[in-house]
Amino acid sequence: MENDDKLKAFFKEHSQPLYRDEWFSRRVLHRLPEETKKKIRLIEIGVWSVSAVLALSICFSFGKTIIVIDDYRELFSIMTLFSLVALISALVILTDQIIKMFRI
Amino acid sequence: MSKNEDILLIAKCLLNDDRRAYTRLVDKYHPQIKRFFLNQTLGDTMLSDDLAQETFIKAYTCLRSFKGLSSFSTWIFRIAYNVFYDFLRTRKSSEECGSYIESQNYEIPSETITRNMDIYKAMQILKPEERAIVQLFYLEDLPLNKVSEITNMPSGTIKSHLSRARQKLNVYLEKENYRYGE
Repeated sequence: MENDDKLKAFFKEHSQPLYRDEWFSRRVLHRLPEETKKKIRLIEIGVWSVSAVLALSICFSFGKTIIVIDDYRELFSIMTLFSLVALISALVILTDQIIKMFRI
Repeated sequence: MSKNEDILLIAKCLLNDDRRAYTRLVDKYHPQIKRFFLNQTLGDTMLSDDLAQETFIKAYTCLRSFKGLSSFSTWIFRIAYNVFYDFLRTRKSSEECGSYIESQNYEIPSETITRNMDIYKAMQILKPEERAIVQLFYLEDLPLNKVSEITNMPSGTIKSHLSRARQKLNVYLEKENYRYGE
């Protein structure tokens, strides 16, 4: 035990002082894998695609039921317009997500 | 920063992929890890820096496997220990001359002996596994059960490695006329 204490004292006396390297964490951060972020992006794109398809199919099926009723033709054209807006926004969002994914 | 704060930072990393939280963990533990590698590589700063970086990258990718049963410091030391042994294995397989560390010539002119070099010289007489155990036990002041957890060796093996290392170190220090506390 006494010997242990002596050796501990030797190591304490001669050890390198602990110093903080400010750039070390930056170097580590720079080398961290981006896999997790890419996975999240892929999931986001998947969710957006599914919701876009759902939105469009709802709009078109609703439009088709309206076309049967002649009096509501005007409403059908509004629905078609809405579907186009939904399609464009879905495309914009998807493009944005894809750009973000490749930027990472 | 307490153990709870470490766990909070790890949770942030896992849930939000929060790299700032991970930076704080790296900032806190890198000095000890770098010192560990410096002593294992007998003062090779470039190599120590590379191995320390590799340790933190590996830790980040395996963060989900951290269960919180031991402290983050024990866990990161365990990764560092494995990184060093992987490094030794790859060196051994790529170089015919045997172990990198064992074959290293560590000639230090007597006039340039500094306090760090005394440690490197003392460490040089030990086998790599003894060196790691000695560092964790004497320098990092970790209890035997933590050393056993880090090195994945039973405590009996740790004790026998320590006993052999102690003998070698005593002979070395006597030969060097080292006086404790002077």
